[in-house]
Amino acid sequence: MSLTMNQLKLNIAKLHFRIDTSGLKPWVFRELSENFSSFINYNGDISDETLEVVTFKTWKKGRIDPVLETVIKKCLKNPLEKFPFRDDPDKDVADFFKYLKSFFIDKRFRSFIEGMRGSKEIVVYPVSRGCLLRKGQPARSALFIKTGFFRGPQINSICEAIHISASMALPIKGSIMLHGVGMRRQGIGHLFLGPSGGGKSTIAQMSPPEDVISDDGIIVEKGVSGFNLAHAPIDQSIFYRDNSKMRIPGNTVLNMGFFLKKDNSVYLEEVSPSDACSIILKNHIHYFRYFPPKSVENSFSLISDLCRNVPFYRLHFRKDSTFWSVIDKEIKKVYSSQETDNGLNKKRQEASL
Amino acid sequence: MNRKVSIRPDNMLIKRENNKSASLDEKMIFRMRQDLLIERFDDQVLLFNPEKNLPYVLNRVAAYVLMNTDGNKSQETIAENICAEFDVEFHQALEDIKSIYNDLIEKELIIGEEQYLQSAK
Repeated sequence: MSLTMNQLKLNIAKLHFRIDTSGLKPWVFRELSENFSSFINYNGDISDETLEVVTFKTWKKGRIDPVLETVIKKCLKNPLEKFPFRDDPDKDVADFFKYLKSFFIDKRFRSFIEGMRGSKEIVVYPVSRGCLLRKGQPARSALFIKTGFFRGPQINSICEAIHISASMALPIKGSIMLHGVGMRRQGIGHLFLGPSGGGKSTIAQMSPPEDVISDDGIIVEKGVSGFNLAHAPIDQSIFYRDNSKMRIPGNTVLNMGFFLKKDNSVYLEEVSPSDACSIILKNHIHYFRYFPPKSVENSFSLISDLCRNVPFYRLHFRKDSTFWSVIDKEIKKVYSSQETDNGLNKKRQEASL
Repeated sequence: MNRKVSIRPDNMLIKRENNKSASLDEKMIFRMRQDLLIERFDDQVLLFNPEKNLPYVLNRVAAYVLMNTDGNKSQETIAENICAEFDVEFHQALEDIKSIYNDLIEKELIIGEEQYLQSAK
């Protein structure tokens, strides 16, 4: 039984993730179990990553050790400075630090950060209604959140924490979470990458729902005979509380990757492996700037390998489903010879296993 | 007749805003950062600076210059090697190395050998 009282054990692309929810109300536990039901298939005792969820009933004010304050600000500033969506990191750090003060008085908070010497040893990440602390070694995270609010923000904070922690830990298992959409069409996998507002949802909406593996985050994993796509614990259906659309479980062999580009006409442009690598590293890895060094190295190696073995294209598309005919045409072109046709059939067979 | 080619890094994703090659001392020796992650592709090299979390794509000549930037070879030595490898005139090679170095310095991908020795002390 992988669902024990106050503990969720998740298997995210072979990453064993244990979440301690002992401080949470039963309804939170139930809701999390429902949201992550497709990942609850792990029975072992050893976890690659742990997340402890700590709740606060009241906001407490207390004196903060100045040394601790300096370290925390540095931990906070380091990722925020690198985070691409922050306009003013200094202001963000100052604002969030005010918010963070209420946690300092708690001995669980202090014990978690005890012994750290530099900003590279820990990540302090702001989430809604709380903050996530993550230590690289051992791979341990603690989420501090305020209770007493509506269930939405509380569940969202925990989902976000799972998403961040899993993103940072997946590379140690030879996989990576990308900001994109995964589709399985006629048995083979397609990866669509784009920034927020870049058309990922459009691509998912313009395709048959049963073809969608994941609609917001997708895990790319190195398999025995290539790269596979697997659904990720980040999905618009999770955040919109809609579990009616069960995503495709298991792995799908990846055939082609596409960088989305909204346009008036629909066509493909080839992207060289090195450029594809550069684009992915720069824009499409969830929380890459927070990764510990070992995960960065593994990610670099994995993405290089991916781009060497899987063709990538820039897909110019408009808001209709015509892009599929262009993609299908390209697939036929790539696999036109008898020899490569066998390769495609092999991929399909593997995918159907 | 030998065809002389420019080794300017036109394919580099590193953009040069202006030509700063004149300001670089050609006697200076540089060293590639030790923590860079490097992956070779057919005719390009992908570099990743883990400190800044930024990737760069270099064409093969820029990559050749970088790989020879080992803290020992002078710019002149590298230029001579390039002349042998790419069939280009020495002065042109030297100018282009300075231009490439300016890009690499700006992106913090190489450091001066003296600076390196000081930081190692």
